[in-house]
Amino acid sequence: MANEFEDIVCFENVSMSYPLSGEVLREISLKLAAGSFYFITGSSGAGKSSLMRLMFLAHRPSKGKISIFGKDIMSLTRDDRSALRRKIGVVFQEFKLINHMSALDNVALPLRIAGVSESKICEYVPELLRWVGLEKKIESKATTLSGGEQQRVAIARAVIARPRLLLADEPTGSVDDEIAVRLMHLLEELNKNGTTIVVATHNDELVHRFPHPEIRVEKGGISGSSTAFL
Amino acid sequence: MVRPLRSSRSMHNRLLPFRGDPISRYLPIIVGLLVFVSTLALAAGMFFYSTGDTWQKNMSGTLTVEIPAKAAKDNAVETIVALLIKNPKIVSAKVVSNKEVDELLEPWLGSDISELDLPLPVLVDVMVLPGESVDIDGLSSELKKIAPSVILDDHSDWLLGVREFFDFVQRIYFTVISVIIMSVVATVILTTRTGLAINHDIVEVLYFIGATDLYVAQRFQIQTLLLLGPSALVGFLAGVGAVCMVQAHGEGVGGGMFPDFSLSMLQWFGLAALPLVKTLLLILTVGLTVRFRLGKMM
Repeated sequence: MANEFEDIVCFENVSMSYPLSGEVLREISLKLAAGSFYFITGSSGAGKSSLMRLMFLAHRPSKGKISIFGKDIMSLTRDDRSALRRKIGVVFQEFKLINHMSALDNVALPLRIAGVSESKICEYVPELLRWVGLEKKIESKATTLSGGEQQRVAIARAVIARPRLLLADEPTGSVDDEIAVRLMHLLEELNKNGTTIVVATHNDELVHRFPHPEIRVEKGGISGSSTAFL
Repeated sequence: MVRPLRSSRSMHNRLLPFRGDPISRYLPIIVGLLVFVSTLALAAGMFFYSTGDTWQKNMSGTLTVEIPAKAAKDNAVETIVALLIKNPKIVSAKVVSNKEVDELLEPWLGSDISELDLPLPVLVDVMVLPGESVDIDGLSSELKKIAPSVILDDHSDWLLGVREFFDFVQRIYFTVISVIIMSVVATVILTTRTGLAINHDIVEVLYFIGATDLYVAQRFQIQTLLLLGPSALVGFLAGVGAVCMVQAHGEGVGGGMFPDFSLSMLQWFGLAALPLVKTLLLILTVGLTVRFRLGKMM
């Protein structure tokens, strides 16, 4: 049980490469403790998103070992990896909402995949959409929502299934400062409830305003002041 | 009064829309036509199978002794019948009455055959014990001792020809059905692969939020059924309608020479199983295609 709350994410000498652009991350080792809040910072193209992709199992490392919730991801079957992903909420940089579906259906998707009953979906989803201030947009199609609204739907979708780990890739990238701050408060609320949060951002002001450890990605390697490193 | 939230389950089933691409537009028509043709082919194949089988059953185990009119004198017929009945493998030997012969010839010679004064042969209908075979050559030579011009016919020559013909036609029909089924499978694989390519972004999102291969495959199966199910059903019903029409119009046309085109209850059930089998095949094909492709994509 103790382990469950220690190493939510563990990278050991992890490298990652894309077929066309070569190695983008080199020999990265880090550990993220349960219930912690981390920023991943770095300039554009430094490898922040690649690091996030490794964390939500969208990509396999070319070298090294990754453990999520204490499980070596390379030893998992496809179904096991899916089960693991259900414990991870992801807010994508470009939201990745399903355009022909309503805000309600987009947010309900993780619950439907997990086989939650419709009655519970109809109870939880509107409640969460109210929490992110979209109570009037429940039945609106994703394409009719503004950038900020789409982002909040994406956040609601990421947290609806109460993930143990929430990864947000540039979540404030396309919203104004006021919404960005509100969003960060929202993520802090989730963190207080025990969710481990990792936010990839190049917004230095935000990083300075919210005092959380920082993992800095530079030229495919990492540095920083946090206790995240091995 | 608060309006209830619009049910989303149906939207969930349409999670992966086939977005009006040419394949999705025309495929239902093609599948409908293929199902229509395969229904007709299966009905015809089953009809030929049962007809061939019925003829075989009716004709095997029977012999016909033909005594030319000139030879049917001086108790020859009675002697022949007595000889036949003495054979332990023969159940019965019955002289076909003039009336029955007239009825057999009526389609060709009309109803006033007796007035034509034709030298018609006497026919003896012989039933052999089920599962037994008579020594045709031996029996024939014994009969020829009574009347040299007598002919013993075990129908084997023409029966073999008919059987071979029916088997051939039947094989053709089932080949046609197999080709149609393979075409449907190929088109379904094509549609599924196109659907996967079109909906790559959605499939990716589903994966990132924890969907399994089975879940994604089920969404495609539902979508494919929604796309192709109605047209396949229409094609099947049209095929059944056509079979019923042929059955209604063909009644009595054979004049006793050919059996009426009709299907037994069991064959109707077999025909009704066609859409079920095709649906199962379709679901299986979509599921396997999606899971195979996903293994490569993600």
